[in-house]
Amino acid sequence: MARVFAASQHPLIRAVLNRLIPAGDGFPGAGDLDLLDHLDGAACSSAETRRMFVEGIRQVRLESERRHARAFEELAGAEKDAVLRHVEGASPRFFEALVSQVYQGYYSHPTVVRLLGLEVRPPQPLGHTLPPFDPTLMRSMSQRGALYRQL
Amino acid sequence: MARNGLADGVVYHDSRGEVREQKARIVVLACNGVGTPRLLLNSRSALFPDGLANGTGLVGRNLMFHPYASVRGIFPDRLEGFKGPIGCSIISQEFYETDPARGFVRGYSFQVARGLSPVATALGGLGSQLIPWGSDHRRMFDARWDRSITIAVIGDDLPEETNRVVLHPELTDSDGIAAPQVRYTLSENSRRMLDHGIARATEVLRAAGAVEVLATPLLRTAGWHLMGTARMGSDPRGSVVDGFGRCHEVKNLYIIDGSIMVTGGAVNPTSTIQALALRIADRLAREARNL
Repeated sequence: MARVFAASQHPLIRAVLNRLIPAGDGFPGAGDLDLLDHLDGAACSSAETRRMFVEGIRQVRLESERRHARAFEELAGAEKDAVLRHVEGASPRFFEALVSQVYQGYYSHPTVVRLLGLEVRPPQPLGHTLPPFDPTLMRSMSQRGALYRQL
Repeated sequence: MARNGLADGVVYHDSRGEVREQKARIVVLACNGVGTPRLLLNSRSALFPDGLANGTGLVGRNLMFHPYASVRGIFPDRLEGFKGPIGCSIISQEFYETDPARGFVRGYSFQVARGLSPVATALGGLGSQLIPWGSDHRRMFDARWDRSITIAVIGDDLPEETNRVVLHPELTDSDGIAAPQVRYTLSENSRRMLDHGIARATEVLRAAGAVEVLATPLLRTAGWHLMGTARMGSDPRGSVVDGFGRCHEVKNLYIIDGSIMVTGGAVNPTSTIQALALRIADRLAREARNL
């Protein structure tokens, strides 16, 4: 359930996310995944963060209209990037938080985890199976002897 | 404080903010390298106008961290590093001891860590080498994901009186008690030590086949080992506690944490603090009646 961003803002936010991590090489763009709940959860972590995200997204909308008199999602790729670079420079705290949250949501999303060749599960308790350790790797160290001081 | 110069208990704020007092025959302080001097410096009285057990002015001084540089090698092949332990896969103390030819005293440990998770890769790990957003993001992520090994250079900071914990002149906690303020400057010795470590780690990673090496000369967030601010010693003029954590100036006040360490070493301090705790607790158990 979205709490910070209205449904009417979702197309704009998805378009922003697809410029931060664009689709390619068989991977989806960040805006193609269901990251809005993740982003919404991060944005409502405090009243200050909420204000920062709301204002930051508003800046993206206003800058698009000011430059091109069109909605952000209707702009060409390079135009979108220029708007985002402007907002990144004008509101670095917001933009840094946005990028960080998008990366966290995207790279822990089951679709992306699977595409990276990982199992969609926490590493524990199953762990990973490793090949047996090759003790000959230690031969040069063991032949060298101790380097430390004996007390 | 009792009039005889001994501690007679602890005054504290409970969860509702009310002031309470716990009487005690022996008081043990264990708030580590920042919390312990903060509490002592805040505990002023007629007997100890500059803070409890602080007649020498040494409480809060000689703060040591483990200055930390990270050197990250990027390799052409996938390494499956995510399958290994996160903290430290290989440790080396090849450069731990003083060698005057290196231009600094004491030395450092190498801790070799596995590669980063997908999220940490994108965010750039401890070194904050963030993968840029935008059209090149995909390519740059692929070049780094599961292809990195990090060597941490963990230095042996020297005790210096100018590196210290003081009371903040304005900032307080929710109970109105002065907050600590940390004043720390990386010394020239520690800087040379880290630079030496970065150069050696770069050689190691290049020799192992790294195609790119990313160095973070000093990790700002790595001030996580807090030591030295109530140092141990046999001379009451040059130390706060004796060899068993007992304050020279308050005979029934003990300190058991990283603040009593005299040198920092170049390894994580928890095991040493635990060993000190066992040693001092054994002594307390044996001799509490006679203190």
